Amino acid sequence: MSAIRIGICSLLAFAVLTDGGVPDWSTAVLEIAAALLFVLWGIVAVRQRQIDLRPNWLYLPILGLIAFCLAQKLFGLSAYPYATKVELLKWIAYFALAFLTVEALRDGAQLKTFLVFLVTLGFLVALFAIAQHYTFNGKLYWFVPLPQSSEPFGPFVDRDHFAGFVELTAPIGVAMLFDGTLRGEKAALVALFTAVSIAALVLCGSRGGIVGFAFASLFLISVLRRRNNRTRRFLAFASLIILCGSLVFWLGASAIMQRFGALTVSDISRDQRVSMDRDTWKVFMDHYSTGTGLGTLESVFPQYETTYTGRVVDHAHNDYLEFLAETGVIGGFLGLAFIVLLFRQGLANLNSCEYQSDRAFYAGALAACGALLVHSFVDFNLHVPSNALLFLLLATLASADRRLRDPWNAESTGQNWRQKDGGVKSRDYSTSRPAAATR
Amino acid sequence: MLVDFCHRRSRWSFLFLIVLAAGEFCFLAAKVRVAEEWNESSNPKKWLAAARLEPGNAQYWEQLGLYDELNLEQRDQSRAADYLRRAVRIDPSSAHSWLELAALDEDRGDFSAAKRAYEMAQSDFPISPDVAWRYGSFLLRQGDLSRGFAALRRAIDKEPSLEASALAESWAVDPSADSIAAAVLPEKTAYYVRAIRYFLLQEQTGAALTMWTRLLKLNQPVAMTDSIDLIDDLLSENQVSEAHHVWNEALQRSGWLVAPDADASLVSNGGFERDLLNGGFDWRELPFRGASYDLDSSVFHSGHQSLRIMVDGAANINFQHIFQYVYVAPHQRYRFRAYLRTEGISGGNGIEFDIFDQRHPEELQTLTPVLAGTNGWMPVRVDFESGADTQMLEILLRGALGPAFDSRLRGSVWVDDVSLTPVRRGIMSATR
Repeated sequence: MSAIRIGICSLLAFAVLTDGGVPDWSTAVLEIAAALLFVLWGIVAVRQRQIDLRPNWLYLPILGLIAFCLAQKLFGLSAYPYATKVELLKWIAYFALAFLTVEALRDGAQLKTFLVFLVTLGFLVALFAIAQHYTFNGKLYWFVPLPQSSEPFGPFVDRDHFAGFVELTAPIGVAMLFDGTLRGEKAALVALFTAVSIAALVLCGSRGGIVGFAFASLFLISVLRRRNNRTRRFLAFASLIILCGSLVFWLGASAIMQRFGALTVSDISRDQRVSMDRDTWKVFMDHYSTGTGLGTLESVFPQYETTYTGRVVDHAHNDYLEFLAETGVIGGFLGLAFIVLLFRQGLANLNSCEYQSDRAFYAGALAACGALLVHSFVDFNLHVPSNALLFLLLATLASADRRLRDPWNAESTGQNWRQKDGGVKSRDYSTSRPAAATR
Repeated sequence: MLVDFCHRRSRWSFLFLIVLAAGEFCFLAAKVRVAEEWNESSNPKKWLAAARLEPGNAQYWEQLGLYDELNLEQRDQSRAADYLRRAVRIDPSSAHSWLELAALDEDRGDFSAAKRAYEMAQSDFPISPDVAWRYGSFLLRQGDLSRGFAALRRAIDKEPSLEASALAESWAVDPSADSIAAAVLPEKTAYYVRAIRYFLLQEQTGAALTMWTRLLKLNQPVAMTDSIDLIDDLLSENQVSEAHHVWNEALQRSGWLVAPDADASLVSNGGFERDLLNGGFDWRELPFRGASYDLDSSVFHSGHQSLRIMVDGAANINFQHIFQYVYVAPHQRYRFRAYLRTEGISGGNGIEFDIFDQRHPEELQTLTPVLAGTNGWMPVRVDFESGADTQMLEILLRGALGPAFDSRLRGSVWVDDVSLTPVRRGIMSATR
């Protein structure tokens, strides 16, 4: 399973670093690698002679959506079946990776490693983004040519997508700091990593990103405020604010503030957004039962476009409306079920946690997912492969059933599994380790 | 949820299913990517391979169709049509594919199929100026002028840069400015102003005048600058009355016109309170090296500013670069007056106003007294009578020529309160 964990983390980093996985070749690598990891999981399961699946309510709406979109393609319900197929391949890959992540991250140590990986990845990408911002020569990574009117930030061609990535990683670090999971040097390191990510988010000037992160912060404050150690939390919060503020000031606050007031070439105006939302709603109303087909908005939208801009509208800058237009009421219901189940299960897991590290994870993951869901009202981060993948990973992890999470503390009996050394460990609770209160 | 694989068969079946599913998935993903790669190559054979590998991608078939249509060496319109029809069958909402198919059908003489294809494109992308333009052009070629003009109107409403081409196409099928204005131009000032400039460039002054008349009927604000090109063109064709008529209409519509007075000055902007229009019946300033002029708000005779001219004497220039055309009546007495202020005017004889009929100089040419050296605000005045054929005068501020050939005029002069008023008979004088 460690190979699968490493594979997932590598894929995630690969997707982030290749313009969010947007280029076709990057998406193809993601999809094929997901399939190979799935096969690897199958091999591991066969070798173990058993599969210990963790139930997850979120699988229902996801699989339902995949099945529905497959039906769109196969039964002529899609306006452009090829586009639906291409989009469906991505979502199947995301689901496969999310499933594997839930199966591969079984105990607190593995989860913590994953969190550290996310925070570190966020830091490294943010650091690169800041460096590139101040030394920008018009090319991504200083050598990859960019399309006209693009506003890259970090490895992303669109600054708002970079913001989406930070929304999914920074709240994890914030949650770890707030919850007192870490002490001393580790806390200082995570604080630094998180502060750099937040500073990069402010520097990129994504208004939707700032609002999303603000939501995440408020969410964390509200779910973690019932805990003890208020003083420590206050100190952590204050330290983070001071660190972030110092970084932002050092990076150039005035230019950042100017960005918030100005539209740039690649921006769309408020009127254009409103027009796009209205037109996408009309698409939904004309196809409210089954939608136009996953991934078909770009094909269908011109028929409904009312404000000509000369640009191709490939996404509606509102993931909810786009999703409704493409999948209709059926997809909308499944999407709503997904969100409800995510927060219901996630909050239930959060409130029944025994360990601080787990609380930090659930709180951070839910905050991150919430931030991206808020940002999705004005952008299309869920159509950027790296952000969609990370969102789904966090969502499925946050809502996965906790009962079998730690095999040493499992309630069920009579289960056998093979250890790495080939021996068989039985579930004999007279000889089992005590509850890992020292984690 | 625990699933046991106690039996070997169950383990291998499970693994087989996993490998099968993953393998199929990999194959589908790889197929998409490989087809994309082939389609992006410069080898047309790979494009066909890409289309066969992913026959559900309409873009691949469209590309093949365009290649067969536009390939000068091996043009195959029949095959191109097949490819394009396949593209629109796969993706009926692609306006671009329908447009290409329509163009091909028209080229092959199948006008009814072309019309259907254009209509599909229009239905798929109603707001597109490109679709409207191509459809409109087709309709004009088919003789359906009303629908063709309507389509061109939709095109230029979204893409104003197409206006000149739309006017050219419309004029070619119906050389009537009235029809074009009514059917093609959106009812906005900017379109009519551009149309005026277009017809002037085509030396169709009559059409330009028609556009001007229709512009006024829009009852929308008009800037004085919108009329300058037309007036200058009319003046160049010696249509002075028409030019003045347009000038007056522009004055009224733009709000420049002050309440008329029987004795009001005929000189426009005589007090230099507004920026110079550089055309029409307003002041014109020609650029020249060695001199500069601006509106001086610190030195003026009345109002808020005056015109200042500074000559540095660097070049031997015959200074006559500030002038205005004034519409006058023939056989009418006029009094010209202006106020000049000079500072260090030397070289040559000084500064004077020259008033003459450019078209009939023998009938009228008069000069004001010369001013040189340094003087405070001094009025210069001359009375004269316009000639029998005089319709328009030119009031020119010039450097008076001196006895020496090498007259390097230098110094500064301020001009303000320039006026030309009709004089009742019996009151004539020339004073300073």
